[in-house]
Amino acid sequence: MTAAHDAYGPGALDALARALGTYERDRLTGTVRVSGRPGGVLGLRRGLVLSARSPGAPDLETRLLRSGRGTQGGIGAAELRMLHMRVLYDAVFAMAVGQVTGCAAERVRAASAPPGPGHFPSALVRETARRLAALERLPGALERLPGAVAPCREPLLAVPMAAGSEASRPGAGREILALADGRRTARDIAFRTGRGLYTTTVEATLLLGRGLIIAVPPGGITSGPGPADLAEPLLRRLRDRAGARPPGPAAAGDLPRRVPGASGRTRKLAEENSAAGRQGIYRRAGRIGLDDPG
Amino acid sequence: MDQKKLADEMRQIREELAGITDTAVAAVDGLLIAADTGRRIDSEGLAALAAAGLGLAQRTVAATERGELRRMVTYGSQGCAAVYPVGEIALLVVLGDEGLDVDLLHEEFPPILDRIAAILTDEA
Repeated sequence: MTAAHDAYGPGALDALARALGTYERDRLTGTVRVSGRPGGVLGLRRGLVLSARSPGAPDLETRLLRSGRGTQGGIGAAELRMLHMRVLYDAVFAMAVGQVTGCAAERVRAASAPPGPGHFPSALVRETARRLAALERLPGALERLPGAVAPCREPLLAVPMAAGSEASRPGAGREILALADGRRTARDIAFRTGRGLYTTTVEATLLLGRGLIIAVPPGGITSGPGPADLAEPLLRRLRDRAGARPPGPAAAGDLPRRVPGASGRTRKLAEENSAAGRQGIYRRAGRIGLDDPG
Repeated sequence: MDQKKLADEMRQIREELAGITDTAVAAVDGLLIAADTGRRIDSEGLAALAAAGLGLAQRTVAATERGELRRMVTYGSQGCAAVYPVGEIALLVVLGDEGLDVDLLHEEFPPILDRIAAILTDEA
């Protein structure tokens, strides 16, 4: 573990491992909500892990749809099982590489737990620890004080001309360079491409090591704010209007009204249509009782 | 209104919750106040759409006597767009990808909306 990860989530995997160990001993069947950044949800049956989801890692559906495999005549049952397992490990990696602030279990009856093989928590923890350690041994991680790319925290920016040097190489590296716009993190890119978070983080860290991308420190780049000089008088006007109104719940009638043909461009059309059109609306409204007072 | 404070708040929203890709603040009549959006998003168009959608949602809750409008969320196959009223003068649009935990978003948002409302109405 490196300084940056320690600062953000000291021992996230340790916290996860402790909780999973307890649930394994208790042979818990139910769901575990892991709070933190990005956090996630684990599905357990008799202490074994059946499923894992995290906002930090693409789920099965995203992996299939975004990578295009879901639309190419489907995938085999064996491949699907394999992918399900990879998604599960990837979600646990996402939780462990971030911050874990707590785990809350909710028991359900065994019958309502999803079917499928369970994974031993110890195997999950061991593999996740191996991944975290492997990440820190990559060339891109060793040379940098914070270590590997923090996949859910650090926006990535492709160095100008870097895309050209990778253009001839297929695969994740080129996709990362194309999507690293200074706003997207490795996690965001994993979702866009339908690749795993771990794979994307490894690739991103390697690109970092080769100087093709840079990791933008949190709060580094913002897109330009809106037209401030326009916004200020507008807000003042809206505030005045809000203040002048008698107190009470916000009513739909207070919304700005758009009058047909107000711009003048469609005046002729509006004159011809408005009378007949509005009658129609009122007639229909009357039928379903919308204009019925009280 | 402190533009920098608003920009910081918006950037923090995106950095704190995994899955938020873009945010924008607009006045209720659809004029963009500030945007933290990627290149592919037309932020002015987004502000206008959000205002129109929120207006419709507000009318719907009023006409159906569902109380006060909390938010309007549109789901697509590759993510969602949530629009929250900010006080009575503005709105906040949040775009998320497939990974965004929308329940968590709704849980965490009330204090954020209060802070944005305070920034917008701050006369200093």
